[in-house]
Amino acid sequence: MYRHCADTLCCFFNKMIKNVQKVKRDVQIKMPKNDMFAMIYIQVKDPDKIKLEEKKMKRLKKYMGILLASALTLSLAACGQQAVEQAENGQTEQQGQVESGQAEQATEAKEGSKNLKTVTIAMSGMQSSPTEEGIKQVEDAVNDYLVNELGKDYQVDIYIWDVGSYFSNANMALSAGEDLGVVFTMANTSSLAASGQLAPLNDYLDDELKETYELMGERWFDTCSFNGNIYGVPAYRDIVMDTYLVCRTDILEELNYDLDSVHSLVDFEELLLLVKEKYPDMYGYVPYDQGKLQLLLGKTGTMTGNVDFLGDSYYGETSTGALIGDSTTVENFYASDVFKDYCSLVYRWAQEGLVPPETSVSPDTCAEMLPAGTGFSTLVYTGNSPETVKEQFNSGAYGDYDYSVVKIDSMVIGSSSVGSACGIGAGCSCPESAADLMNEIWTNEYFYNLLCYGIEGVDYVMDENGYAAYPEGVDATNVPYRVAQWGWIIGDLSKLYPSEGLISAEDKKLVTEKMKNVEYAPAFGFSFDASAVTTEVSAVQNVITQYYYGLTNGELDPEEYIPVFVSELEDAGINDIIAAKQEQLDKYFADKQ
Amino acid sequence: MNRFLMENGKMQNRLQMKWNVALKKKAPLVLMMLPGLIYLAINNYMPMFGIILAFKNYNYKDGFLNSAWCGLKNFEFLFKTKASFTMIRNTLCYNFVFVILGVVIPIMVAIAMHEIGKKRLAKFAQPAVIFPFVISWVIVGYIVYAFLNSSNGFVNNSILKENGISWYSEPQYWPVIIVIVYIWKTAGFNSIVYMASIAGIDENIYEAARVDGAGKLSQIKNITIPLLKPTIITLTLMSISKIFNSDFGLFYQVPMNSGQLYPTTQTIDTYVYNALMEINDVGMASAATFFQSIAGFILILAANLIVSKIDRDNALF
Repeated sequence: MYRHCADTLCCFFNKMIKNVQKVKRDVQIKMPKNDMFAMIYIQVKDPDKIKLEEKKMKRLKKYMGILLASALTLSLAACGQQAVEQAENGQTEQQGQVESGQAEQATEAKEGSKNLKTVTIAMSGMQSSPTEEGIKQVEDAVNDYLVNELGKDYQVDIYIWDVGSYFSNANMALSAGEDLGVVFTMANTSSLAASGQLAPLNDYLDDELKETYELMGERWFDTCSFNGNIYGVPAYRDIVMDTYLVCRTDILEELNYDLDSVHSLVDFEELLLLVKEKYPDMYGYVPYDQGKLQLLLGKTGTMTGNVDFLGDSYYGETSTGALIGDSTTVENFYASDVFKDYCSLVYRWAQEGLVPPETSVSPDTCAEMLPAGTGFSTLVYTGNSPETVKEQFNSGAYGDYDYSVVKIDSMVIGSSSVGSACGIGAGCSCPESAADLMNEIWTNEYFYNLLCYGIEGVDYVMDENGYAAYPEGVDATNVPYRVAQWGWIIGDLSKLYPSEGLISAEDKKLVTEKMKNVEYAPAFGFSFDASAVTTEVSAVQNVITQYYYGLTNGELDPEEYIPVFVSELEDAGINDIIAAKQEQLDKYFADKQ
Repeated sequence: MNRFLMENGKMQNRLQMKWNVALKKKAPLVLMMLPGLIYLAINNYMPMFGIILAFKNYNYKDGFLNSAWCGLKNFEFLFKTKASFTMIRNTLCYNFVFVILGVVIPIMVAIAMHEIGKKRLAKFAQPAVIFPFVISWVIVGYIVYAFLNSSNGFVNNSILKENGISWYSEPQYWPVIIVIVYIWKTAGFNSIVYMASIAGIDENIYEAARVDGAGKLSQIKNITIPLLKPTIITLTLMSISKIFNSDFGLFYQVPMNSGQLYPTTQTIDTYVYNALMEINDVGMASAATFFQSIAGFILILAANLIVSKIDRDNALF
């Protein structure tokens, strides 16, 4: 019996200590004091048993190992499968995949009796997110209209990417040379054209795009030109931005001040000083966008004059040479008197406490400061009517206060104003059809609204005022398809049906009027090709970022810092850029004659 | 040829025996490494060929292979401009300080954590020290803004009541501010490696030292630090390869990209970002990272050579 116990015990011990060779050795080496244990150790030294146990352990470990490895591999494979499934299922209407689209196209083409070409439209969803069924329905309606009513020989595939990732998706698709037809280029037509991602449109101007060309005129098309070729069709909309001053009504009434008497920044200063006297803790003017005071736009009184930034940002923050006033000589905007006067004004305002300090780094804007009561007024640049602006501010988003609006100024249209355009991808298989499609969008009212508002009855209904309203039971959160903001990025805005909250009938009239009476800068249509001076542009850009915000937000003393700024710009090579720009501008004017 | 009769009846020579044994031992290991190796090859080694972009005028239509060569033109914006000296000086100086402090302070933290050891305080203190590492730089930027804001900031309203400083317009304070923020964020995480090394040191050595009458400081100086030497050398060598890189979040988000601070906070990465935001030039961006990687590569080879001459065991490769 003793032997049996010892047997079991020793098997147990063996199993425990088998894995650790060292311990096993130690255990075997250590001399036991007790006789009983001596018997156990003698048992342990039985070689056959040891071999058997070892073999069993080895097999066990081997099987465990294989099990573990296969479990890991399977889980990885399952993960991958799940991710693919998720990608396919979770593929919302906002993500387009050209491969699946092309499979769609193939089946469509097979189903159609004619041999129909397919043109893809790639657009940004802006602030809407149409559903996949909604897009499909509209696609079918559009194709039906194109083929059956207009007798075209192509169909359309619509891709809508969400606004945040739109440009990177479009850029990737274009750089991969995919078959994209009509592509919304945001404001980057010239850089896309420079890198060869867009197809030139010169051949179609007399042909497919003839009506659009007659609608907009040569100068509009010139804004999308690059190196002598046209690469995009600009959106024909009200690019005239007006400057509106928005102030707190209750304080105005307290001060008995008539807002309509403010015509320029100088008048505005008077008002702000009065406010400061009464409310020393309140900032008179707070910025609309984060980080910039943006008082520089437009020709607000004698402060800025007409400045055409020749394609650079019309806020003046990337200017590598501009035309000031009526001159046709390209100058360094930052060395001009206009800039100096403006900076002195803002610096004075900052010293008197009329604007918040440290605007360049502060995350606060009017959206935070007006409701909190620490701000009195702000400036808004928009093409909407004053009533729309008033509605926006009195809607409660800016606190419980009431706001009054007065228009201060209008912008002059320079090349920088025309931003949105649509181009044809360089890899498009049927560019003539794409050009024809663009012509339809710009000139055909029914087709245009079909694309923007969707299908009548499903996505919108026309109410008694001629407005495109939501149908019964549908609102902004569950409408299948409505991308009316496309009115601003594609097509002719004056053809868009009015709708509530977006554009009213009065606004439309204003737009059409403004487009007829707009003031064009002499160099409207010119776009600068910077490929020869990229080093200088990048160095200049760096210097601008260093000084511009400090100077235009009133944080740096212009007397001291503008000379430093200008000398550093010159060291960075801005004069080379100006010379190159002047050359190209002279050539542009000469070609116009 | 010496042929041996194996157990299973096959005739094999000595070389083949060795090969078989080696294979049997190593095959499973190699198989385990294989997925990782394939991933590394595809993700890290194959794209290396893209380094040619730094010398090309990249055009999306022409693609990689057909874009025009332009020699060293893409490097001009890094070296020919006036800002080049500032940014390279800033990058190198900051990294130099970070390397030194990045050894001293994490070791101090690690020793402190080790002393707390198994006490209940450790459960709170250790995660608390490591926590700042996982906060995004954007948020850290706003935390610093809450401190240094000139109108509502903590520092200006409590410590410097009347003599408020406009922190975001004075570049001279920022080297200190950036170093403090960097240490606060990364010291805890970097100390983990050292904590593991210290935990591996045998307790008996410390006991023996205590018996011999060594105080805490002496123990640290004579036991902990020398035994941490391999770890320190390895980590320092690895950080030398990154000496021309900088943490973009730290140098862009924390100073809120304020232009007036550029003289002391602009590094190569923020310069390239600011310069190329307007002109979307792939070739120039590639040239910048080409310079950073190749310079780092040469430096680490040189440093490794020096270390291997002095102390063969501690060299990286």
